[in-house]
Amino acid sequence: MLEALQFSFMRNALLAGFWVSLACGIIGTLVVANRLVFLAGGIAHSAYGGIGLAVFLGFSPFFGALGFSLAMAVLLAALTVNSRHRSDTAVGVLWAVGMALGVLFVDLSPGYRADLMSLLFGSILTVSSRELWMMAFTTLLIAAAVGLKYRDLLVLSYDPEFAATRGVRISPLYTLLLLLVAAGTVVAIHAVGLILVIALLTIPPSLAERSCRSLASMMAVSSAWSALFIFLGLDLSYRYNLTSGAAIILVGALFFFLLTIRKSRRTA
Amino acid sequence: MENREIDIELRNVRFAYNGSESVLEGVSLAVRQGEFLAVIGPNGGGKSTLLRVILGLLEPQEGTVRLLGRSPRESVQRVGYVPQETGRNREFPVSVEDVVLMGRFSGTAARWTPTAEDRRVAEESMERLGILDLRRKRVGELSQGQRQRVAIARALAVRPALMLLDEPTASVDVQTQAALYEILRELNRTLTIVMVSHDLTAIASCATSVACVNRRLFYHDRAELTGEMVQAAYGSCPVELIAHGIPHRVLHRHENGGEKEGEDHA
Repeated sequence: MLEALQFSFMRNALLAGFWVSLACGIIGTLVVANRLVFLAGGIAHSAYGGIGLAVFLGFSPFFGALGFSLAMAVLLAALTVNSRHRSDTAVGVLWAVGMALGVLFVDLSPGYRADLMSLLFGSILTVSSRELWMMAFTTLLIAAAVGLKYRDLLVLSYDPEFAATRGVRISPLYTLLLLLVAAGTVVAIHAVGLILVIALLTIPPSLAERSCRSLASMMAVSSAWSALFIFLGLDLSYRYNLTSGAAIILVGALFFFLLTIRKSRRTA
Repeated sequence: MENREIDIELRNVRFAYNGSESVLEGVSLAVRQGEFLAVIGPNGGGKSTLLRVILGLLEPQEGTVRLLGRSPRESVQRVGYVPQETGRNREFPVSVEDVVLMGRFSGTAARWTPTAEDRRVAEESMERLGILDLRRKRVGELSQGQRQRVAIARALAVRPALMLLDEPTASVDVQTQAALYEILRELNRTLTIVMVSHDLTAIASCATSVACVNRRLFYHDRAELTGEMVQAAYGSCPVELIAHGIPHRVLHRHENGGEKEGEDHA
C-alpha cells in the first residue's frame, strides 16, 4: 500500500476516505439512533434523479446529487414527521421515483455516460481535487451543525415526545436532521456509490453502538471503523484490481458478521 | 381542596386521530393544585391520549385545554412528563446522567449546554430516586424498574409544578412498584400529580381522586371507585377488577343501594 502513495490518485483517495469516514461516522450514528436506515436509503437512491438532471443540463453530478437529495430530505421530512413509524410507503415511492427520473434524464441526454456507473458503485480512486474540497467543506458543515445542535439532536433522537415537552419544535429539527443525512449521503457516494452507501452508514455505527455511552463517542468510534474499512478496502482494491466501493463494503460486512457472531456466542 | 388553584382544566374536549373515530369525547376535567389523580380505564380507552392533549402534544378538535392557567404550549416546560416505557431505547448510547439532564434541556435556547446548576439539579433528582450510583451506566444496562426511576428523575429535574406519568409501574415487580408509589406519594407533597395506571392498587396507595377514561371521562374526587364509574368505563362486571387482594376497599360501597347494583351486574 505504501508504494501506492506515490500516485496522486491514491493520496486523493485516502484523503477522500478520511472525509467520508468522518461524514459517515456522524451521520450514520444519527441514522441508526433514530432508526432512519430505510429513509436514508431512500434519500441516497433518489439522489440519482439529481445526477441524471445534472448530466442532462451539463453541470457537476456532485451538485446535482446534493441539490436533489436535499430537496428530497425536505419533502420526506414533511411527509413523515407526524407518523415516523408509518413512513415506509412514502420513502419507498420517492426512492423509486428519484431513480426513475435519473434514468429518464440520462436517456434524454446525448452520448454514452460510462462514468455514471462510478456514481452507482463508487469511484474513490478517481476523486478530483475539486471534489475533495467540496467533500471537505460539506463534511465540516455537517460537523459544525451537529456540534451546534448536539443536545437538541440527542433529546430528539432519544425521546421525541419528551423533547416536545421541553419546547423543542420537532418539525424544523427533524427537517435539519434529514438535511444532514442527505448531505452526508452525498459525501459518501464518492467512496462507495449511492447503491452501497447504506452499508457504510449502518455497519460502523452498529458496531460502535454496543460499547458507547454517548452519541458523540459513537460518532467517533463509527468514524474510526469507517476509516479502517475504507483503508482495507482500498488496499484490496489496489492489490487485486477490484472495484473499490464493493471491496470497502465487503470488508465492513466481514467485520460485522464476525463481531456479531462472537457477541451472540458470548451472550448465548 | 375546592378553593385551590386549578392546574389542569379541560372543557368539553373531543379528540380524534386523522379523521378516524373519536378517542376522547365530551371530556371535562379540573385538576387542582396538590391533587393526585389516578387515571384508569381499559386499553385503548384514551388514557395516554388524554395526557398528550393536556401537554399540548395533540391538538383537540373541539373544546379547550388550560395548563397552569395558560395554553399548554406556554406552560408545557413547567411540567414533568414521564412517557410510557416502550423499551425502544434499550440500545441507545446514553448514560443515566445524560438522560436525567434532558429534564434541564430547553429547546427554546439557541444552543443549550448544561450548566453547573443543571448538573446539580440532575444530581439531586437522581439522589431522590436512589439512582445516583448508576449515573455513569448506559440506560440499556438497567432493569425495567431502574429505567422507570430514570424517567421519573428526568421529569423531576424539570423542577415541575405538575407531573404527568404514563404507566410508571408497568412491568415492574411488586416491591419496585411499592417503592415507586412511596416516592410519588412523597413528591405529591409539593407537586400536583396525574398518573395513568393499569394498577388499581395505585388508587388505594397514593391517589386523592380517580378518573376512568373510556372515550368519555368519569371523575370522582375521592380515592375510590364507584360502581357506576367502573360500569361506565369498562362496561363489564367489576368483580374481576376488585378481586386483586387490594388492602383497601377500592370499589366504594354506597350506604344504600349497594345490593341493588350487584344485582344489576349479575
